[in-house]
Amino acid sequence: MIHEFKLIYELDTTVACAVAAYLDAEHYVYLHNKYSPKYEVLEREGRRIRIAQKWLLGNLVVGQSLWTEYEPPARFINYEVSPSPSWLPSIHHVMKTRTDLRYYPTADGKRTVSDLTVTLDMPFWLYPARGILEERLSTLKKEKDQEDVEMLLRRDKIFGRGNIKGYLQDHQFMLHKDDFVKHFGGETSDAGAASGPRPRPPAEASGES
Amino acid sequence: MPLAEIREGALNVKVLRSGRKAIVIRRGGRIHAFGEVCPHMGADLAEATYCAREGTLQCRWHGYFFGAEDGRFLRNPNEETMALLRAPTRHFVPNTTPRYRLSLLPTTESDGRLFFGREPEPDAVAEGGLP
Repeated sequence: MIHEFKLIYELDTTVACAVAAYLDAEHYVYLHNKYSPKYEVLEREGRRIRIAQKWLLGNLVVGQSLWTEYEPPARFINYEVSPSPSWLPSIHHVMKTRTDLRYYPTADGKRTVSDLTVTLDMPFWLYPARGILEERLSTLKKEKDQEDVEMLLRRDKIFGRGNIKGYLQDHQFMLHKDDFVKHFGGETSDAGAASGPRPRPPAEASGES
Repeated sequence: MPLAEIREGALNVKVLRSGRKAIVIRRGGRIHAFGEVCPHMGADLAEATYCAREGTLQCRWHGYFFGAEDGRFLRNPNEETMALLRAPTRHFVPNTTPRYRLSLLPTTESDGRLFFGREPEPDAVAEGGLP
């Protein structure tokens, strides 16, 4: 049975900064240490990467692996979540999870709309717990976003709002950096113009339902 | 800042009059002071992890290590975990060591206190010199 829900709210940052923070994978295990203290890249196929996130459960290292895919300029899809190690009792043995996150600018272009769709495919006996699952996943997403926003607001204060120059330096690693630079490399502030197509709300995006 | 309050083996933080913070490290009888801003992405180094044994400060946002005495960038621990993805591309050049360095704050010690930024003067209170 399918349970789908959306989580839509605004982030007080530009789309370029929001995307940069998402692709800036080096902060995942440090800033978000509370949620995923271990991060491992398992394989890469074009714009999709299979990663493993791990944490300690007592003396046991447990976690999950998943595919995470980037669709430029500002869409991120996660799917095929599976427990690690595979024998670990986990809800992911019986439930398929897919998340589809899009960022697009608010009407005035100064802030970012975070538009997340979560699709949970679960057996009938788990369906009554869908509300609890939705609440837990929503809380987790909001908490991690809050940590990112605090980082972005501090960067705004120090470097100026919308300043992404730090991410553009040659030595700075980001996931899918060439795609990011292609679409946002021309932006150094919220008044800057992107060199590529602007991210649009889902209803306007081509080929999207 | 009273010298007696600067603990060895710990990261000491002093909020200056400007509102900015000074990160103060005492190592082997010497005192080192840095600005609060991580030169990599701007994190607050007051939240960094100080390892007295290794003499390093590790930033909370990205885990980068800096020397606790000279502030030099030492290493990026993500290079290992992200190795599979760190292939050179048009806009990414791996194996180039960034020239990050924590900003060193000039300090002077006088009358059992640590002063930041300038020499203490008899009729003036240096920034951060208030208890």
